[in-house]
Amino acid sequence: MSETAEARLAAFVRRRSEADFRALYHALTPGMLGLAMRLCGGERASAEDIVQESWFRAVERMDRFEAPGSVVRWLNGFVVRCWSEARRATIREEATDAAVLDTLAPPDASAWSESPVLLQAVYSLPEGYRAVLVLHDVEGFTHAEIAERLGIDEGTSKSQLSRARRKLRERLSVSMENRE
Amino acid sequence: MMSGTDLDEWTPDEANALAALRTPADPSPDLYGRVRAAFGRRGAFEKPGRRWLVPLAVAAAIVLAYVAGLRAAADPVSVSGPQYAFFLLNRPEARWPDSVSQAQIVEEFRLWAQPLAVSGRLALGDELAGQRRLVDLTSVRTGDPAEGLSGFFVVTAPDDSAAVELARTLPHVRQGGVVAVQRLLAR
Repeated sequence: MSETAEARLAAFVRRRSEADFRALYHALTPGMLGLAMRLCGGERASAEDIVQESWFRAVERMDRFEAPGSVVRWLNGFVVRCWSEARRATIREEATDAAVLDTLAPPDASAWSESPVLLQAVYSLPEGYRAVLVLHDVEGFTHAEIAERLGIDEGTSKSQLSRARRKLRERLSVSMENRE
Repeated sequence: MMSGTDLDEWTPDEANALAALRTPADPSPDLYGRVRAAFGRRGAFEKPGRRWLVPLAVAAAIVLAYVAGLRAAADPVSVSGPQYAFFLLNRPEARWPDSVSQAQIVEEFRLWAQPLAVSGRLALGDELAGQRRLVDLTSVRTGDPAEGLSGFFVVTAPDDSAAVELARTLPHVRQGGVVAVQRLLAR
């Protein structure tokens, strides 16, 4: 998959044809959209806006993509940055107080009504918690990568993750109790 | 499922369950169309360097035409009549075929401009280069380079209909571009 994606990207950079872009788009957009959906708490319209903007930025910079490298990882970096900018989710040190973050409203419950329990619990996390947890525990980003893409420092990323995990446990406990 | 003793760490099962959330999502059918439409406006589906082909050709042709015009100035031709501005407007769908070289495009514009320069009917013309800035009282924005003006000419023509006919002969128009024709206010 990854080799194919890189070959497709190289073909598009070389020829700039729509056919090459269409192949690249169809191969990679589902992964980008999946990430955007998780960051957006399941809000599809917002996620698709982020993917659209991510493609713009990626195409503008495609001739600067340095192989060898993961095209998927590179594109996902645009998704995270676009999400961060769109949501103004600059998770600064002074905003990491759990009480402050807990005041943020969870997303519309209708967005995750058909999702499994764990995903619902992730979606219900405050935005700042959700972002770090999704990037670290779901996507496999390092704290250094998260810090760079969200404009925070690594210490903030680590403390956010710790709080996010505790909050996720709480949400899952509540969810399971409600089921019993 | 979430049974770790340390609340900050996941058990292997918990970590696997979270990693399993990394699933793709099918985009809406219209998303590609939205991306495609915006890319077309930004000129993304063009080989690097071809975006400015037409304005560069206009500039080169005007230089060549003026050289011819200056030679002709030794025997100036008396030309009277109103002056018209031809504004060459970019259009995303207007493209020169890839088979046409830059030199061929310059030659097309030179062939159009040179007779006008020689006869004294070409008063002015140039490429519009660099970033286009959209300015109002409170902001300055950068315009989309794929839209707006790419160049202009000022020519002398007997009347409005003659100016329109002359504009129709521009290579820019033959390739699908649009030219705005307006008479200059006589002073």
